[in-house]
Amino acid sequence: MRDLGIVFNYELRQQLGKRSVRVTTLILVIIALLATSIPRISAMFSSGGGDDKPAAANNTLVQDTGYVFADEAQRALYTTLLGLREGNDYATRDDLVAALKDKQLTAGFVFTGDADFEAVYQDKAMEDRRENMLSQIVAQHHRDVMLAEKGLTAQDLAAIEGFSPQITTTVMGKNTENNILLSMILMVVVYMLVLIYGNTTSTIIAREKDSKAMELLITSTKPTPLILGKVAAAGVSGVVQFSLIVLAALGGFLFSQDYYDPMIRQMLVGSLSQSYILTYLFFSITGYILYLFLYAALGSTVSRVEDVGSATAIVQFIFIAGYVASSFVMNAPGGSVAVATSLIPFTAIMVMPMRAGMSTVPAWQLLTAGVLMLLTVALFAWLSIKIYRWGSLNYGNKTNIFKVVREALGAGRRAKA
Amino acid sequence: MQLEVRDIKKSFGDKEVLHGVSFTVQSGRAMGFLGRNGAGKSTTIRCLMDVFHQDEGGFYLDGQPLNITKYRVGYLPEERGMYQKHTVLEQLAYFGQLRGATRAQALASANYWVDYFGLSEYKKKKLETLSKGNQQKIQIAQSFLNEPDILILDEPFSGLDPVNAQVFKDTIARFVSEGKLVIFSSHQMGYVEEICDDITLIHQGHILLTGDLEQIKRELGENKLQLRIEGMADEALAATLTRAFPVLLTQPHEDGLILDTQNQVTQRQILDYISQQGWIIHYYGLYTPSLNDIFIAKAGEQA
Repeated sequence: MRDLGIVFNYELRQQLGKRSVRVTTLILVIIALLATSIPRISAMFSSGGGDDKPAAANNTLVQDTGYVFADEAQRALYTTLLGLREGNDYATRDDLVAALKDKQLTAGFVFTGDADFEAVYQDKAMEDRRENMLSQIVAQHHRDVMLAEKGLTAQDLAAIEGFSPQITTTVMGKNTENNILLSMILMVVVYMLVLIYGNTTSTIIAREKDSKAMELLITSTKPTPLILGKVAAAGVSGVVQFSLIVLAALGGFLFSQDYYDPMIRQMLVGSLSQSYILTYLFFSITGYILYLFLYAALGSTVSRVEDVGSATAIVQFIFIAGYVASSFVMNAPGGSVAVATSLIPFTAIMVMPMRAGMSTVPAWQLLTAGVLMLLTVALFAWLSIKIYRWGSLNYGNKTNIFKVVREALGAGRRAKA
Repeated sequence: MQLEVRDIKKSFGDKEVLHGVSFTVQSGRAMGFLGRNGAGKSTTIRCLMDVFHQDEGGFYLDGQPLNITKYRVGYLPEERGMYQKHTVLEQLAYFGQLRGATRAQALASANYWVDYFGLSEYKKKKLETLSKGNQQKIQIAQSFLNEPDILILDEPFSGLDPVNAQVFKDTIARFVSEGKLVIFSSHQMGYVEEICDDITLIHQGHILLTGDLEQIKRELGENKLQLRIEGMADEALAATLTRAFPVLLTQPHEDGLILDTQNQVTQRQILDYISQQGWIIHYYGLYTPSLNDIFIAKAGEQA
């Protein structure tokens, strides 16, 4: 226990003391803070937006745009509606086309009836929206005329269309709509945490072999405190780094929450329950530790830091499979795939919190998955110690994980004998 | 303390590399563990340090099975390596703590040995920024941390310049004089001869000889003389002498022809013969083999 503390303290100091880790954390904290403050920041920079839109629309339909009207009444109506000037008005289609060819205009509209018009362009840009804008204005006018003929107003129509029955919703369990956003965000946090700190753990151990420091270590203490201390230090440094980022994001959200769309706010905080937080923390942390042991074991099998990537590919594949499985769970959190993958420890890290966020998971499934997770963590901690010890004696030999496990366990039996 | 290495056998796969290695080391007497490349020195030392588990045999301290973790052991592995990207003092203190010292004791010990090797200015530098020679000194310093009771050094002189080798020899002599148990392996016979009281010679996993160095030298030099005659080649001298004394065995040597009298020819007889021949003696004396001679003779016999 004493040596475990020494290894943990030393590795944690080394990990958190790295300038690259501190700078990266600071940058990510700032990004998280700014990203979650965007609604407030954007509100600070926008002022009187509602009045600008019609003016902007009308100006777009006036600038470099020509019109040919069917009659005087129409000319008078649209001159008022669009704010047209004398230069916008053309007597015939030919005059308008000539002006387009001379580049005096970029677009023209020739009315052939009350609500019919032809759009004429010299060149039509993809972002040119004038045709749609005029169409909406013409449609709006046409609708107002028709309503007036029926003795109705626009407000009457809005009241008819806006009617909806009074519904009182009572969700006994979880509301998927509310929880999906938070579950996805937390899943991504775990995903990044495992991949980044898993690789860090592998690299730390491979570097010990690469630099030949391993022989000094295993003759100074036993492999158990070494591997447990390293995994604990990598795990804690990851949790510290990500906690700072999450706290910054939370701070930014609290600072700007009044500026968030109520629906998004509901999706972010409406689903936070104690049971969800506990489920998320338990499966994320134990699953994270499980993967760190896997990465540590695989880091022990290589002799050079540059081989870490290929050695850990198998565990990355398993983890990403869990991530993909959790995406399927969004559609059917109570389905057989969701239940199965939430019980398997390697995928439960992602799937069980997702299920718990989106549905009510039966207690027996939570309990079974929890027990399986703890047993698997213990098994892989033991196995990683054996593989680490095996790795300290094996340099340069290319091998595969199955052979490593067989030899590591064989070495353990011989040692006992 | 007396460390007994008793009948150690070790195989890798189907190949047995240690065939019953046995020898004894006394505290207060430096033991040189000698052998050619691949003889089994490092494997024996790694078994002693519990890096490998021997298949048979055991290690005993004062008659009791040795539990290496219960003693303060300084170990310098053949494969040198520490954390290249960590600072010198921090990692030395870390190794000191892992070997049982408190943080304060480990820091004090690390500071002492870094200062001792004249590397004070590098305490807060990363190891990778030091020269190869200075890195080697830090490696050696780590083996001296916490005043070890047992010092096990695998090829400690490799990579050391003569000045640092002298500092290292003096330090080992200090540990020996303090009654510590010291074992080191080496190829460099000159250093071993200077420092060691006892030697063990291993070849292809077998112990060829072990014991007090001076006694071994006396035994191997018994009944042997060394002779060089002015103006006469050693080969011609050997031919002439073996005609005169058929029982005499000769062996060429860079310092003069070695004559093994087999206790059947006296020095008087040989000197009288030289006088009769009118030869002028360039060198004459009792032959005392150097460690290099012993090593070449013994390892060569088995090769």
